[in-house]
Amino acid sequence: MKAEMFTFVVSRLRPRLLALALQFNADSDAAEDAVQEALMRLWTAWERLAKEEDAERLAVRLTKHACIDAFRQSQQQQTVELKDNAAVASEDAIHETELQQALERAVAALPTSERRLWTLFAEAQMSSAQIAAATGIRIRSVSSILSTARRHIIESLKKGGAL
Amino acid sequence: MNSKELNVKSENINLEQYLAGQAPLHGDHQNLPSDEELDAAEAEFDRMMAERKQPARRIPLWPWAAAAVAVIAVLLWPDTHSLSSPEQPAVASQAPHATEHRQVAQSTVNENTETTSQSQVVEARPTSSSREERQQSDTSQPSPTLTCQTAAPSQPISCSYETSELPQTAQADIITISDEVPPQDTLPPLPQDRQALADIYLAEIALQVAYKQRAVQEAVSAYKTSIITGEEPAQPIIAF
Repeated sequence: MKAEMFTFVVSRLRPRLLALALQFNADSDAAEDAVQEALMRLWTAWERLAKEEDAERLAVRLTKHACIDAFRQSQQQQTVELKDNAAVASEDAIHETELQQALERAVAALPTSERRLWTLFAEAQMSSAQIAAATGIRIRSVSSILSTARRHIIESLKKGGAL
Repeated sequence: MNSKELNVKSENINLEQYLAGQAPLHGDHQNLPSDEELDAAEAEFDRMMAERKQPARRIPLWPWAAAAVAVIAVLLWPDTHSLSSPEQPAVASQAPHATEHRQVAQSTVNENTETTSQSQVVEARPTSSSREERQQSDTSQPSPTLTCQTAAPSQPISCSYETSELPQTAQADIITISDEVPPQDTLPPLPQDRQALADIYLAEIALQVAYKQRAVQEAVSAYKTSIITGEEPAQPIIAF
């Protein structure tokens, strides 16, 4: 389907997906995260979808998968193990890893609303209109929140010495 | 240009692309799960939701019903060992009225009349002395009144049960109380009825009030005599 259809279909699908996620997980933040994860993957597979019904069916399945994935991750968080960085050998790889970790920390330190929108923007590479449809937020607010998130990330990188 | 500068330059480029939304930091979001993974996740999701929708284990209600019946049975079981009778609630409800007994004492000192003509009347209600009388008495009838009267300070006090409209078959019980304490063996046994005990208690209070009135009257008369004769009274009147 065309990319322009994503905004229309997702704005209509989002309440249903959110209700499904809330039915599984009573935590609204976790439900929002699951819907966001599902819509990001739906956007990835959007060009391969032929009909709106296919998109709807896939969105439901992706939402369920995201809910189960988040549930399993929450179960595994109790036995977190330190990552073994011994495999990283080269200096370049060390710098890349440090920068990636610094970015992850900066994104994780963002407020929830900024982090959600920034993930849709940076990871799923959605436009502001698509993010607005996926989150139910107005486009102007999306642009403003994305600018604020970008500024916070840069400040965090500077503060951490990555820049 | 050394290798470090190159590395920094390449990192800056990646960072700029990332901040512009052109280079994702993680590629996980672009990897769609396979159909098998989606099917397994959907089955797991449906299974967990079905488990949550199952009704909770119901607590059997029969122990609670049995406990309630037992409590009601214990509360309603007649207590044969206590002094109270099944009429106890009604008597207890009348107890506050019993405390509202009127104590009318006429202690007016009239200089024109002799002391012997004065009388004190103490009334107390209710004064039914036995359960049979209570059962026979109708609620519409006025309650009997215990009246204690003394003719003279030196004479004994007489108390009697009186009602405003006594039936013809009923007679007022007149109790004459002398100054001398009767022997213990002549005292009637304590009744097993709280109403009767309350009546006795009220009668006792009425007698005490009558005795006090008579003592006051005797003191007044002695003081009066001392004033007339000019003699000092044997005991000073402190109460006045």
